[in-house]
Amino acid sequence: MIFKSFYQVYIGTNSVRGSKGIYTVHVDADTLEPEIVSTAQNFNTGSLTLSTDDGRLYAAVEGMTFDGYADGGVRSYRTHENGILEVLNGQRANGQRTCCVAVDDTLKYAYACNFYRGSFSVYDLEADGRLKPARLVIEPPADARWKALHCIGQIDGEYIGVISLAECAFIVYRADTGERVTSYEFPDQPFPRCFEVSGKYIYVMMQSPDDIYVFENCLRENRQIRLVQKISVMGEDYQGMCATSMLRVTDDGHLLLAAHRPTNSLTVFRIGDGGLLEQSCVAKLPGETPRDFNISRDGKIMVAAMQKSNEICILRVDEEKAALIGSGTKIHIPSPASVAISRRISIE
Amino acid sequence: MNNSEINLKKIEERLSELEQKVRMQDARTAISDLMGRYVFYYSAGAGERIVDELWTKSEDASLEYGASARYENLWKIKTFYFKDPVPGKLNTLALSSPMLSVSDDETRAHGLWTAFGTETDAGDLGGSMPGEFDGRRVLLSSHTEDGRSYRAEILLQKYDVMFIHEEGAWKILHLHVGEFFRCPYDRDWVLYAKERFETDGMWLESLFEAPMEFPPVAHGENLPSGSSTWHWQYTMDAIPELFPKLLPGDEKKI
Repeated sequence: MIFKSFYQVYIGTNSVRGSKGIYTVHVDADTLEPEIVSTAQNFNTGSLTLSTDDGRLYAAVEGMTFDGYADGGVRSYRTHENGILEVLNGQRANGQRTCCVAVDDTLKYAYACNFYRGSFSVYDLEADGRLKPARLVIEPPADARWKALHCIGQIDGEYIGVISLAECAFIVYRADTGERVTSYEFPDQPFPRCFEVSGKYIYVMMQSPDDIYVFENCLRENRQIRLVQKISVMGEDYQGMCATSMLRVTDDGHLLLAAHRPTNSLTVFRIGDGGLLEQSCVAKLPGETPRDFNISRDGKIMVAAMQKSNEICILRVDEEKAALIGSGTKIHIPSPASVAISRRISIE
Repeated sequence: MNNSEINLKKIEERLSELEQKVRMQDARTAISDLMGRYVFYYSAGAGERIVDELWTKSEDASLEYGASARYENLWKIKTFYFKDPVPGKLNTLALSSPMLSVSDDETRAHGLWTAFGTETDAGDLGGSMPGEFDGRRVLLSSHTEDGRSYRAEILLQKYDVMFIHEEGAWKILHLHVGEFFRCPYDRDWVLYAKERFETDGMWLESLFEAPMEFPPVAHGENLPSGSSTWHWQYTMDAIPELFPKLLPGDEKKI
């Protein structure tokens, strides 16, 4: 007999307005009612990522200082079903304001990139999830006018993708050697923001203007990525200010959701044949400024970090209708900035 | 050239040398006076006078504090100095004798001071108690037995300052405050070295919070203009290093 069924949600915050660091929230799987069950001190948690087994959490320390150095950093935690985060260790990121952290599916490597200095680091992981000191540190081109990176993630296990503001490009490196494999420079100098990989496709979103570039991953075949679509988050008729923040793809690869801050909305796309996106709806979120959001692994719920209104909101995802449904639930958390969600946990 | 002319030339050269030495000495005195005023204004909470009277008017100005990284342009520098007075808050500063060098063309100067400072916030004990979610609260590193919090920290630092001669007076062009350590007065810097990591980031960001409107270019944020140039603070693993790498006078050797 199931006594309780919930999702364990981790919310990283900016260290302002009385924030207590990373919040663990239990979201009831039936009612979506949230409850804060634990907090763990961490400075400016700009990015969170869970290991594929949900057993380890990695947090980017998006500050100018880390353990006494002028540096950003990454912390690793062991997770527990009671919500407690147990600190394993932390490592320097070799650049200040570490803004994105990712971990590979095999739990062997972690990656972090830095807004200042434009560098990224590759870490080998101990068996228990601890980070070893960075094995590889990749610097931006020496002549880059603005040295900054914005997002990092693994592609196919063998490659690392990064969003480079320095080069206004999506760049692919080999994960083992750091060799630069290929890149795509975005035309007309947009502000690139983030990307997600789903199957054979890579979705790269601009912050402004609000375009998503869809690439086919041909890295194993010919070390290239091939542009197959460019589509607006808000739609071609939208005339207002653009400032997207995050996009996520459901684990089954059927839906892509993209957040847009000025309109406090999430655009839901269906992913069709060939990875192509088709806009289904633009859903208004109850709160202000969705800085990040995430989707549960079963694709049932979405949790958004509403940075300006100091709350998270939780809504159901209807995969068949490609929409968010219901009015959702909320809970107050100061300046939320990043979200990670576990599998559904059932206690008997 | 006869002997009289040779002697006169020598005297003129000697006079020119002495005049330059006097000008250099005047520059050193003026810069020492400037930094004396800096300390006086800083310890009196008169940050606006520091900007108005002691800083350059050039947008090339920059300020770096510990691991804050470099804040460039005058509006960002103002955010460091322009503060609303809070009852029970007090920052003080005392400087050592400087290592000081003036450029041969007498337009630039470089000084390095060791500094001792204190940072105080009466917190729960004072006339302006911070609320539960006030950013001041996390920086209150001392506690009374009955659980009230306040801040009484000591700091040992170095002031690395570049000056520019502007409209007949020396002004600060670049200021980099380096750190040895900071700790609560009732603790020591070894025991506090690790604990301070938790609040270093909030402390640095709080230094650049100001009750002033930012220009449109800031988009509401006061971020550093780039990475840190150098930073060293005491940790239990740290080995002392020569920072800054360029000492006053080294510029002439390059």
